[in-house]
Amino acid sequence: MAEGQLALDERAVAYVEDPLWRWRGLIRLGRDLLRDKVALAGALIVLTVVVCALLAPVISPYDPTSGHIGQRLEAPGFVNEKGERYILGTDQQGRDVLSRLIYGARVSLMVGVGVIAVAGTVGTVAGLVSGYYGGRVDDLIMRIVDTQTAFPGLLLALVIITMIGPSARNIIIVLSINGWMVFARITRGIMLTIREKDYIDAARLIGANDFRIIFRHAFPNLMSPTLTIVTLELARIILAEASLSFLGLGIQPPQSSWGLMIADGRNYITIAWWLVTFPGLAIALTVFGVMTVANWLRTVADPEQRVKAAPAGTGSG
Amino acid sequence: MVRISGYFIRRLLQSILVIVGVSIVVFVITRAIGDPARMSMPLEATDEQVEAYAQRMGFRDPLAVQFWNWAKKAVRGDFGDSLWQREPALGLVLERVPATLQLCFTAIILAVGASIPLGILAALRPRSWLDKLTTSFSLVGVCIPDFWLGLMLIMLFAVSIHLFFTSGYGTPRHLILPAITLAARPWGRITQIVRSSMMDEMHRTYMITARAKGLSEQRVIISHALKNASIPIVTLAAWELTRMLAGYTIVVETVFAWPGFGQLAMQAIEERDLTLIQANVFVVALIVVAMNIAIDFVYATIDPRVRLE
Repeated sequence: MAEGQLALDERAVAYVEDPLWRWRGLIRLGRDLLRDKVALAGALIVLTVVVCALLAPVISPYDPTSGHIGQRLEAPGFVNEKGERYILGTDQQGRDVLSRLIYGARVSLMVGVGVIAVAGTVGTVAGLVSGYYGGRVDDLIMRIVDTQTAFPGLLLALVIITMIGPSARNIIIVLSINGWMVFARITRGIMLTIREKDYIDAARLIGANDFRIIFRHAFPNLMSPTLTIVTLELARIILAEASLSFLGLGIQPPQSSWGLMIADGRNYITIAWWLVTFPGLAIALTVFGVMTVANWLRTVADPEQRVKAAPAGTGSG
Repeated sequence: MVRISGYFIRRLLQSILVIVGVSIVVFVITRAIGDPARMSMPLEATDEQVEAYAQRMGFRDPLAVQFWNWAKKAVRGDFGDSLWQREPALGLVLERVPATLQLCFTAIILAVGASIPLGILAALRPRSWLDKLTTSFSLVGVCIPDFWLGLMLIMLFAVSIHLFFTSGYGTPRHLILPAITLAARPWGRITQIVRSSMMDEMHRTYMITARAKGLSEQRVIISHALKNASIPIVTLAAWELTRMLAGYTIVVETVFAWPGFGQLAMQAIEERDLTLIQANVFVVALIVVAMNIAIDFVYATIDPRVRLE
C-alpha cells in the first residue's frame, strides 16, 4: 500500500518536473494529427485559408477591386506586356482572380467567426440557463428551439436580409438567428448531467451564486463537446454565406466573396470557365478542410468513434 | 384507432400554432423592419407619394391592427394581390408547387436510391477500396456548394456535350441536371448515415441468431440489419427533403430557371413584392408542417416501438 503510494507520488513528481508537462496534451494531439493523413490535409487547408485571410494585403499579387479593362477575361497563366503574370486569369473587369480569391477567404472567415461568436454565445447562454434552472424557463426555451429547428431557415433568412439590406454585418445577424439552436441544445444536454454532480452541490454549499456555478464550474466542461459543434457549424456557415452572396443577398460589390465571384462569373460560363471554377473549388476545399478537422476532433474526444471514422455531415439547417 | 385520432388532433393544433407563429414572424419582419411602402414604391417616388401609398395600404396602422386585417383575409385564402404580377398572390404560389415537388421528390429518390446500396457495401467491407471511395465521394457531396455543382454540370453536359438542357421545365432532359444537383448533399449525408448505422447493426447479437437460423446473408442484411438501421436513415432523408422544400431549392431553381416556388420566392424578393413573399412563406410553412406529420406516421409504420399518443 505504502509502496504503491510512493510510486504514484514519484510518477506525479516526474510528471510535474517535466518542463513540457503543461503542453503534453497538445503535443499528443499534434502527434495524433501527424499520423492521420486526411485530418492533416484538412488542417493544412484550414491553415492556408486562415493565413490568406490574415495576410491578404501582403500576399495577394494585385489589387482585388481594380483591374485594367484592356485585359479582361484573360485565361489562367496570362502575362501582360508589362510582364505581370495572372496565375488564375482575370475576370470581366480585368481584375486578378487569385487576388480576389485571397480576399474572399477574409470574408468567408470573418462571417464564419462572427456567426460562431454571436450564435455560440446566445445559444450557449440559453442552453446553460435552460439546463440549470429547468422547469418553465427550460420549457419555453426548448419550445422555441424546437419550433425553429422544425422550420429550416434559408427562406426566412432571405426575407430578413431583403428587409434589413445585404451586408456582411447583416449576414452575420441572419445566420446567427438561424444557428443558435444547435448550441442551445448541446449545452442544455450537458448541463442536465452536470447539474446532478457532487461538485456543483459542493460549490453551492460553500455559498457560490448561480452565476458563479454556471460559469466557473459548469462552463469548462462544455469546451470539448462544443468545439466539434463549432467546427461543424463553421462549415455550414461558409456554405450559407456563399449561397447568400451567390443569390445577390450577401456580400456586395466591390468587395469580393467566393459566392459573389461565382455569381459574376456565371454570365461568362461559356467563354471563361476559370471565373466559376476556382472560387467554387475554394469553397469546397475550405468546407472539406473544416469538416475533416471537425471529424478528427470528434475521434480524439471519443476514441470509440475511431473505428467507424465516418466523415461528418454539416450541421442541420 | 382512438389513440391515433387523439394524437392527430393534438398534432394538428401544434401545426396550426407553427403556421400562425411563422406567419406572425414573417409579418413582423416585412412590416416592422424597414418601410414596406418605401420598399414597394419605385425608387424615384417622392415622400408624399410613399406616404399616400402607405396610408392607402394601411401600413401606418398599429402592427396588431394590420395583422388582424391581414389574418382575417388570410384564413379565407386571400393574401392580397401580388404587387408585381397584379394577380392573387396565393394562386401564383400554388401554381408553382407541382414543379418544386417534382424536383424535390426526384432528388430525394435519387439520393436515397444511390446511397443505400453504396452505404451497405461500404459497411460490409470497412477500409476496403470501395469503402474509401464511397466515404470520399460522400464527403465531396457534402462539401460542394450546390449552386456551383449546378453550374459545373451545365458547363460539362449542357454547354460542351449538349446532352441536357440548362434551363426550363417539362421533359426528363430538363429534370436530370437540377435533380442531380439538389441530390448531391442529401446523397452524401445519407450514405454516411447508412454506412455508420449499418456498421452498428452488423455487430449486434441478433445478427448471429439470424445467421444461426440459416438465413442467407442477403436476407440477414436486408431484412434484419437494414430494417433496424432504417430509423436514422428515414429521419435524415425526411429532414433533407424538408430542408429542400423549405428553401434550399431556391438556389438550384435559380441556377436552372426551374419554375417552382423557390424561383418565385427569389423573384418576389427581387421585385420587393411583400404580398407574394408572405404567401410564399405561408405555403412553405404548410408543406413543412404536413411533411412533419407524414414523417410521424412513417415512423409508426416502420418501428413498432413507436406509438402515436
